[in-house]
Amino acid sequence: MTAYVKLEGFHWRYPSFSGSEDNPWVLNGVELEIERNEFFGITGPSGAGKTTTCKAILGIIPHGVKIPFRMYDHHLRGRVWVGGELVTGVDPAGGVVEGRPRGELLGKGVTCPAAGMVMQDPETQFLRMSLLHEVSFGLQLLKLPKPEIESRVREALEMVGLGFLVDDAEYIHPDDLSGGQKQRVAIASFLAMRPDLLILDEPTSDLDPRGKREVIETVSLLSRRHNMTIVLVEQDPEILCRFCDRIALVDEGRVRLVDGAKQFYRHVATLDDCGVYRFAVSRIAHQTHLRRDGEVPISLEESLSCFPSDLDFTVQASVPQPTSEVIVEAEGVEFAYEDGTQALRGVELKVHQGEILALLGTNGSGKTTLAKILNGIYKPTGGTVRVLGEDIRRRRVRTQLPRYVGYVFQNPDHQIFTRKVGDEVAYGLKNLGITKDELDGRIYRALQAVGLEDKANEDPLFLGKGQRQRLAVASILAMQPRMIIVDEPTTGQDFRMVSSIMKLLEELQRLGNTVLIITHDMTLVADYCHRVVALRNGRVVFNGTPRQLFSDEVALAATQLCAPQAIQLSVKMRETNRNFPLLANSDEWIKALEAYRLARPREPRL
Amino acid sequence: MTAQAGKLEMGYGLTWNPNPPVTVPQLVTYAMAAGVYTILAWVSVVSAPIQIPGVGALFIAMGFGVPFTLWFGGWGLVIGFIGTSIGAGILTGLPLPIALAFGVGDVILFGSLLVLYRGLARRFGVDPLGRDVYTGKGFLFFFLVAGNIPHILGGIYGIIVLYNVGFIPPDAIPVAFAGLWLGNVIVVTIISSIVLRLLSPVVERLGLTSYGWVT
Repeated sequence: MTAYVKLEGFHWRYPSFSGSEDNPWVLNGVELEIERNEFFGITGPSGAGKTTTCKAILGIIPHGVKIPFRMYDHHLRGRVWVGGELVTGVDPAGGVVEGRPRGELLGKGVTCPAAGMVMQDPETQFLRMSLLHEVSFGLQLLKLPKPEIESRVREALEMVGLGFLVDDAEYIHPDDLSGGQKQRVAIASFLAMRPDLLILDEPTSDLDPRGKREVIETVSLLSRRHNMTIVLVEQDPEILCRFCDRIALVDEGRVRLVDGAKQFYRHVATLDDCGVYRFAVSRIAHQTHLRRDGEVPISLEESLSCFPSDLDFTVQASVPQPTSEVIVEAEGVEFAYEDGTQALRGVELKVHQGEILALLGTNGSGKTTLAKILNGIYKPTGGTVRVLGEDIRRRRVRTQLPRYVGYVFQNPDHQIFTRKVGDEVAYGLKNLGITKDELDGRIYRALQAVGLEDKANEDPLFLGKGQRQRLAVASILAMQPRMIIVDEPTTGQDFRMVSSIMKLLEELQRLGNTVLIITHDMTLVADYCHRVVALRNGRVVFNGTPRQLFSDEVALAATQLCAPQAIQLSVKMRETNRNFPLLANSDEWIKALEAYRLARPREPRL
Repeated sequence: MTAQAGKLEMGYGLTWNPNPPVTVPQLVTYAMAAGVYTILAWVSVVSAPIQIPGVGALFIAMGFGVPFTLWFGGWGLVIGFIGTSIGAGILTGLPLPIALAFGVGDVILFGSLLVLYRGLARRFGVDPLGRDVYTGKGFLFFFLVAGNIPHILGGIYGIIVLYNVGFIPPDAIPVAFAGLWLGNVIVVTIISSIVLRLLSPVVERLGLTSYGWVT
């Protein structure tokens, strides 16, 4: 056996500790081999079994799970090896009780320094009271000498871009960090231990695009320097393709496809079928039957040589215009937290009725703070904010704001509090006085939009993080507020689910409601948003359309944002053809190419 | 019905160790429960003190001790012993032997609770984890078996200890007994019923309950 990590016909179902129904199999015969020192990617739709597969590699499943009455053969089949050692297996003839074999569990889990795993939600793995102690905790367990611990902590924090916190690390509580910083700390904690095998389960979902790339680049460098094997679970094709040697597609508890990173994204039909993210240019080429040497392109360079460069402005789509009614007007808004951190420094903003506005910026730029002011959660420390014509500095106005401005928290656990999914959605509706006849229909429609209609009686505690996020979105969507603010609504969701949530927001917008989205997903911005306001260090540094932002290198540099692939391709095309339309997203490209094909039916390349 | 479900439906009883091993999450839960019980026992004594040392007007901790025992089996006895010995005993300034004697009182109380509830629940068709506490039959069973009988036994033991260490005179025995018993009845009827109704399904689904004394 040469593979460093090997899963052979691995099946797993979580135990059901109550009721007479068994849980379904979550993993249905996973076959996977990962070589030593490989940077291996895993992608797949939400709920496909990616995280469970990672836990099975380490042996957290089944060794850390209570199996009722040791009925191992009822929950587990197949074997897992790491570094030639058996991590998990079942001897089906063993464990005989009352004359019936229940299976005997073989192997034992692996831990650091052999292996480590950074979880999707960093808060689930924080144990200590300070940043310094959190990052050094694993090193202390490894009984490293104190100078070695200090140097590794410093190095790890610097590698994840938190070097500026090193001197105060002893006095900073992990809870006081932003979502993105928490993720960096979780990664630093494991980088410091330098495990042979490091599993990263969507570890950068709360980071801005540049931050995400920087952190994964650091992991990549470190893995090469210390001969580490990396398994990265991720949705973003650019990250996976750039850093991974090979990628696996996990779907319905099976590995459906494994291929080299570039070749992987040419299986467009399979990826499309599973509803995972693909490169925009691949999607465009697949739908318009464009090929380069018989294959769909995945990069800009490949696309330049197979996409027609002689499109003209007539195919450029028009952007829907919002009404002129201003529903939010912020002038010179300032906000300082109690510890003195100045989050906003004179923000000027107008939000119009019926527009989808993206609030962008790097981690810590003040987006969430501004959104919480607009919802009345925070009171500005300076400047004025008028929402629907009312000055929100008045307490009475702020207490009434949630009736008109819905806010979906970045962390769903800050929002969800009932013991039933249906009750969570119903709570706000009941407060609005919705009648019983209408209530059930609105609950069902909201849950259906986020794919949770069959979970109405489930306890939110037993939903996955992605599902809890969708529930948080559904509970606000159901209220149909005049303005809805969604803070990172699509983090960790697959392409199909993002499309479903965004279509519902678009529907609300078409009814005349206003949508404000905080996101790091630039493709989403290009696909759905009418206008962009970008913050940096608490100030507005850009206010315009996505098309203007993503085609302007100066604006991109000022906002520290990256343009999505579709519009990057248009910009590249315009370098050779000034009349080339500025197509902002995949849909505009597809429409333009279809129009082009109709105009030139005998065009050989199409 | 599947093999696993059938095994689970054999249900909660008084066998010693039917579902081994004790997992790390279970041990962490028991330790946290012991911590909660200890703090509540201490708060119960110091927040509403009466003339008897180590005894409070209402022993709030009991409201959580009853659910802990129904969920965790014999571990509830351990939690009660540790919590009361430390929280109501050592931390309130009682000598160690008396504090330990107080702890034994909770072992008797929770032991009788476990034997009675687990032993009789199936026979009377009520839920062994008290999820049906707000139904007519469920509440009656809960009130008698969890809210009264164990506290009469615990109260008798407690009075014997208090009398023997000289904390109460002979003529105060009836009043002290009635106080201990009725105080627990009030706390258990209000707090334990709410805790059981709200949290039993969650604790069970997390795989933290014991089907016998140990596991």
